Amino acid sequence: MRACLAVLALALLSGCIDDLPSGVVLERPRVLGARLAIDGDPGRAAPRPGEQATLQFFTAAPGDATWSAALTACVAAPSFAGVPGCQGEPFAVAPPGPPGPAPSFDFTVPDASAFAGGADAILFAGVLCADGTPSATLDEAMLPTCDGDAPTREVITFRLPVALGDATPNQHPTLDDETLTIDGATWALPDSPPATGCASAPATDALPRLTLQDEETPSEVVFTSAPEDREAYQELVITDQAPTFVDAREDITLTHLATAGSFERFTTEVFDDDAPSPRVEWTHPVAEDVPADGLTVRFVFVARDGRGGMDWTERVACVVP
Amino acid sequence: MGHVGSTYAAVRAVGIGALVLLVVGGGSLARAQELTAPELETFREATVNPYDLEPGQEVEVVLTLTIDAEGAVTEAEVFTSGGEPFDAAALEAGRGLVFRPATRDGEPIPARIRFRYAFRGADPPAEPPPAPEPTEGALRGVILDASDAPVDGARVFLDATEGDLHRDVTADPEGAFALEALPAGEYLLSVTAEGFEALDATEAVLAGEELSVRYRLTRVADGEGDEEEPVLGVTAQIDRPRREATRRTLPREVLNRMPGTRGDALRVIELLPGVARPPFGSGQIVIRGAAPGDSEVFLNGVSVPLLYHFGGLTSFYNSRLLERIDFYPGNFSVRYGRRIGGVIEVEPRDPTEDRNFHGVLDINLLDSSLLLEIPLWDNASIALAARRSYIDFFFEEVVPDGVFNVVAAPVYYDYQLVFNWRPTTQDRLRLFVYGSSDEFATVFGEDSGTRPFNLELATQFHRVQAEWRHVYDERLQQDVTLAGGWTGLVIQAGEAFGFDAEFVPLTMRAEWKYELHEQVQLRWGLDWTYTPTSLAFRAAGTPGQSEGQPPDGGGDSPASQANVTGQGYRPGVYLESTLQPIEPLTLVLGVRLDYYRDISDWSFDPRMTFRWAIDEQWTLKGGVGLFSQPPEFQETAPGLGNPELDPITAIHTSLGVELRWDDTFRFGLEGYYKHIFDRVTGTQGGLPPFFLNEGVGRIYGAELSARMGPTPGFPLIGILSYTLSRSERLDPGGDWRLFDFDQTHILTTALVWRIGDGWEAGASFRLISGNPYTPVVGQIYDVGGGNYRPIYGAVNSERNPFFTRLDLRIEKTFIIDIVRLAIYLDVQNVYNAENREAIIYSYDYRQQADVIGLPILPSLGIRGQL
Repeated sequence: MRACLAVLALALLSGCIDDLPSGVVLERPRVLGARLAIDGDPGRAAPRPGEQATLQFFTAAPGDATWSAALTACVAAPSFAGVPGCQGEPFAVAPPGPPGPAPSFDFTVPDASAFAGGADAILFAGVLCADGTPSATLDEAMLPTCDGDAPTREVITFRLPVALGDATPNQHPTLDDETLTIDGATWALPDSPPATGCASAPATDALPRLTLQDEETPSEVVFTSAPEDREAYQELVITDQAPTFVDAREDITLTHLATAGSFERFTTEVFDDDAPSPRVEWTHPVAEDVPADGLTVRFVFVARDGRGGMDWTERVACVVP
Repeated sequence: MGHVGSTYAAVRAVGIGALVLLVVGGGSLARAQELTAPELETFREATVNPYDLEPGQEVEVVLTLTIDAEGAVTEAEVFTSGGEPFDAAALEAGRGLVFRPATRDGEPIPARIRFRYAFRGADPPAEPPPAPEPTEGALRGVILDASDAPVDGARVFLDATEGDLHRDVTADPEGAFALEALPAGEYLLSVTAEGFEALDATEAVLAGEELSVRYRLTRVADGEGDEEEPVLGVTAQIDRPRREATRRTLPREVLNRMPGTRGDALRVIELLPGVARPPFGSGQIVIRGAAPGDSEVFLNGVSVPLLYHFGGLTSFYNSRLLERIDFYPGNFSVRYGRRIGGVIEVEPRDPTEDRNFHGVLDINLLDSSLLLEIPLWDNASIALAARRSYIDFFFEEVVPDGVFNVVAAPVYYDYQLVFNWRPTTQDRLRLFVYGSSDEFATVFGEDSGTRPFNLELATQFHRVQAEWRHVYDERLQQDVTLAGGWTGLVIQAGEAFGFDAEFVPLTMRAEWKYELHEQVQLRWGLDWTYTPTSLAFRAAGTPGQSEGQPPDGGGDSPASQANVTGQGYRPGVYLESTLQPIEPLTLVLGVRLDYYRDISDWSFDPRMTFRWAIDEQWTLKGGVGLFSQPPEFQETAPGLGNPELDPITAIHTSLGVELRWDDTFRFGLEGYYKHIFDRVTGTQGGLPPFFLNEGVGRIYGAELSARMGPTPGFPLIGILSYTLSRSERLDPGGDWRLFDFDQTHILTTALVWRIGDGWEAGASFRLISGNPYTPVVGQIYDVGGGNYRPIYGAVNSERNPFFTRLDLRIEKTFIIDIVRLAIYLDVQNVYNAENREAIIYSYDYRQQADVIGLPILPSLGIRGQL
């Protein structure tokens, strides 16, 4: 452990991590999340046995991209380490679908008897192809390739806890009622922003205009969360006595990335009711990347509660020289 | 009463001129013949009573000598008389002269020559000249064995470190020797005696002063002391030889001269065969393919938790307070237990017992140290030392803005106090107080947008250790050691991991050595530890297998935490016999019994080693034995681990030869095989009980070593070691794989050149296989966590490129009166080799970059010694 930390410290000191992409720039088509929509209760993140639901993926790309997916769902085998596996055969399989904006997966949660032996979650696995199509279904080939011209392939896994017993089921965090500001100004949902030439469009809350700044003067994005998004729950902890459930409160982790420029970090956390408005700095693109008629920059924010609950939103800004 | 000696002058002109005529039995003179005159080979002085000559009087006696073809004087006659008693003295001496015979055409022939003895009375007393400033000093000493008995016939070789002065003397029956009229300066001494290991020392002789020293020799395989044990350890005597000097001498032993060690004797362990290189110079000790935790460092039998400070740059103990280091890569004595790897035994030296105050101040770019030696009373002395780094003084200046906030910049310190008292000739009391501290703490991302990530490393230990040696008689000796202290360890990595532990280790060792017979020595002892412990442990996941498991980049493991107080209780007893059933064979048989209360289990380890002295140069050696150790704390802690685990066991086997070519060159070749049973492995899926004894391991290899010097009069010292090894592990359900620290080839060479005039230079070079690593062959996006997780190939199936490094050291020493001043430059990684130590990946594991190890690191220092 001592050696591992020494390695980490040296790596940080050497700055070598800076040489590798950290994921804050949307430089290729990416899967950014998946939100479960339970029939009749779309705000709930944890399904109950026997319920019908849809898993809707959230994807983003620097430009236009179409997606196709081959997916499967099974009862997750209990595991504390490594890549999770299935307990038994998949209960739902989605063959490669036609290209579309973002894949989704309809399924029915098995009944409670399937969750025996300590199993308490559904495991989704699949291959999502941007600008391509999976070569096979997952029950025929574990990791199909993507067919197409220069497709982008993402192998995904998603362990989603199921609401068993009397426990209060987890709810999704919501970004609809949250507020975002950039450089102190309200930042509203985008409204058909122009792909190019944004400098000629009027500056609004939905398309704020940012005058290009150097890296020493980044813009400041502030995210204000609703306290109710941080639900209370019982967390399993392994202790020196026995596995124990302890009172816990969710942290909301906000992933943020942009099509240009660079956030100072990949995620921002909301973990303290006394500090509900965390901030993150966004460094503007370099001058050569900003045309005279302005650069439209898309921003993506994904919120996670760490227990399968998820939501996302987008914003747009116009950077002018 | 003195005598008056003569000088001589073979009357060469006369002799040669008369030679042809004086040739006895000469042949024909018909042809030119090439004749040579006899040449004096052995002179005998003619002596008379000094009262027979007046002051300044000169008397000359010329003899006619007949010399045979062998060069012996067969007849002597007075040719020119000087009167009695001078004629008689000259005749008596002349008959004892030995010549190289005269030759004719190269063939020896008899001859007759004239030979002159001159007698001269003492010069008349004159006005005494002003006494010159003394330029010479003397060195007197006594050679003793371990029980302080004199060593008769020991030879003492002396070589000036500057110039070519060489002397050698033989100690008298009392072990005493004297070397007079030595020009002031520094000398390298080598003491040899039959049945004892050679001892090397460096002494500084001051003008007009007499240096008195006592050297203690170590008997070879006589059952006295650990270093003589016929086990397969490498004995590394460092810095300070086994002796007590009444004047502060400057230790210039082999091992703290080595380049790249910054003069730190303990770091020379890295150059020895069988020692692998840990990544990033992390200071871990990897001995013969064993995990770092499988080996242990002892200070006179008491375990110490760490050997090196941060980054492995400096050890925890002042090198100039060390007597020696014993390094046992395997097949070690039953005196050591609870470990299946190797053992490093550090033995401090006694402070000097003269009446003088001594000190050493060493200042370099990373740290400074001070050593003081203070005489107290007869047979009692004390030494104090301390060192502190000053990286913290400038660390914050070099950290890029905004990267992290430095809470506690890296700082380390250590201290030592050694008190030595010999109240009687049979008792020795020693008290050690020592400790070490390393601390480093930072906070990353200390703003409102992210949970602060604090990285903290802190290790502290403090010890008080008391030792009593009592020699009942020449057959029985008792050593008792009591030690207690405090160890604190804090490792914090944000909320993901926290370990805060306090240990109060108490150790008692009692050992008796008894010579049952000249060929049978016994040693038995008690090795008892009791460690009250309290610790807080927290991790984002459950504890996992400590080795062979690449990080999975996240997961759904529940957090684990523990607040534990307990008492580790581990008593052990051992018995060992050293037998010499026949003259060249030394056999050591031992058994050890240990109890581990934390797992309520026992281990019983029988061990055997032998040495067979084939002749004076060659020795065959080997060993086989069982070695056991308890699992790590987290592997047996209730709730977090499995208290039902068994001890881990290993079989050590080895066979090798040693060649002592001459006093300068030594070679060794040794092969070994180790098999590990009941290795602790993680459970499938990391589920309770989390750990099982289901792993095995095998380690095999060969070690080749060569050592050159130090030898009096020989300016080079060298070490060459090459290790070929393979260390593998087998986990449940898997195939044999490489151990995390497996290194196939380890080539190390070091050379030190004592140039003269106070200059010394050295270089060391290492060529070592890179550590294995597990390649990333793909990636999975974890939708729930929003991050990518790696898909790994076979565990440890790829390897980093070869590691190469050249280190240089140059030192210039000045002797100014009683102060010796040294300026040194030690440069590590001279050509700035970019050695890959690890690989880091982009957020999605699609790109990777090398993490490079230690860049060029110069260390400039100055050392003053009094």
